[in-house]
Amino acid sequence: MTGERCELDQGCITCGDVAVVLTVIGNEGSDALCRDDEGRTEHVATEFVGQVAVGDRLLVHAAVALQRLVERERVPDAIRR
Amino acid sequence: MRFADEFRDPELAQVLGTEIATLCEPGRHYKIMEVCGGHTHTIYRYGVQDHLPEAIELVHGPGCPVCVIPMGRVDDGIAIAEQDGVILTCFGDMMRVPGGNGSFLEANARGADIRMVYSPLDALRIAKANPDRRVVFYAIGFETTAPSTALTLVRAKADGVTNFSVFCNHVTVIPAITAILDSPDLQLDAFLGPGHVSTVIGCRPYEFIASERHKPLVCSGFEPLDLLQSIYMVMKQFAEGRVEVENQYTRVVRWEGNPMALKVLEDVFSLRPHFEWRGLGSIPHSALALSSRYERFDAELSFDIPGVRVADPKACQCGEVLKGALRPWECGVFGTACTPEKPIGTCMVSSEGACAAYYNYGQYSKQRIHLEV
Ligand code: SF4
Repeated sequence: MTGERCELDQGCITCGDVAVVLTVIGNEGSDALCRDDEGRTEHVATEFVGQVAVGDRLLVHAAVALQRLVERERVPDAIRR
Repeated sequence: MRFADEFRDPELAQVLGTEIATLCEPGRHYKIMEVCGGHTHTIYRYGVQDHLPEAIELVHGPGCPVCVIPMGRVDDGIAIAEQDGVILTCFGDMMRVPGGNGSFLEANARGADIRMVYSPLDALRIAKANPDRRVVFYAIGFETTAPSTALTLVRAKADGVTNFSVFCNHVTVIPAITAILDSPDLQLDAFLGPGHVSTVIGCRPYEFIASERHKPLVCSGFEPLDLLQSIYMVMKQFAEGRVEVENQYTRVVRWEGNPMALKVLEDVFSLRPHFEWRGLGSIPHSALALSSRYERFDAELSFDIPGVRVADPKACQCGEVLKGALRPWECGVFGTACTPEKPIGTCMVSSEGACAAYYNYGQYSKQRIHLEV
């Protein structure tokens, strides 16, 4: 995925402070192989989130995991009432 | 259904908009600043303002990393890139930011070797693959991005890489919010806090905004419903007479942030006494430099750079836009002399810049929210 997200015509997601949620599909030393919702894969550095396991959901910015998601990603019931 | 789709549901947006309207005090006007450029982008792209009552005005803040880079720092980058054997690397949007001596793209046309990367880790890879070249990473961004630069430097040091350095322009969000709070131009009622920055720094650093400056702040996610829920939480505070820091983005943001990332940031960086922000001027303790432990990776020490302050073009009103004092379309050159294809100011460069976001989506926002979901 490297470079793919920095197309000049679409804008750079790193510049935009955009972070994406990716799912861990494998471990490679201090990196994890992750996949996004569209099926694209990316190597992600995991030093800031500790040991990760296949299936973990990570918030990733510039190929570095910033946080592990613990809550289910859904609209809170408070909004649905 | 992708998880994001649920957060873009127009029916739920409508419900939230109606609930927000019921919380407005008759005759009162509310000015709420979204600090982060990512929020500005969502607001225009999905027409979030269209779901709000007229009494609520969203004011765009300074949280677009590219927008706050002053022209002189662009010129410094070009001066580094034009030295012998240098490969300068930077994020995509930086390529088009105009400096006094043109943009990085224009420098490339003159023969420099400036390459786009998605992560500073890519820049380190380029350095390892080109041992005979000096590879410099032009670092920009708030606390969302600083951890990736810090981690790259930790890895470069551990791997003994000697041809890699960083030209550091990382800035910190709290002094920028303080500068805005101190600005006489603006009378803000509340803030939407930057969700991804907060992933790293947590919610605690904002507490003074509620306790000392008496403004509510809600850390917000980036989907349309995240923003609407955050605005609802702000309005609920007003209705109930509370002034607090709250966290809407609980699926990602912890109150204490990410302690592991904060620890590495503290080791790799130190606070600069002053840093010049585009539009906001010089703000004390608002930016990061490499700490003495990493000084051998500091491009500011190893390269000759002009380090000169360059005044913005006369027509440019980015400073006013960045402070939320002027709306993009109120700038005299918006959409005429200044467009995303040929930007005069930084706010027109990145899609998170208020001017580019409004140029790309603003006029169509009412139709857009229905098309996009
Ligand atoms: S229209 Fe251009 S010059 Fe005017 S404020 Fe926006 S980016 Fe700056």
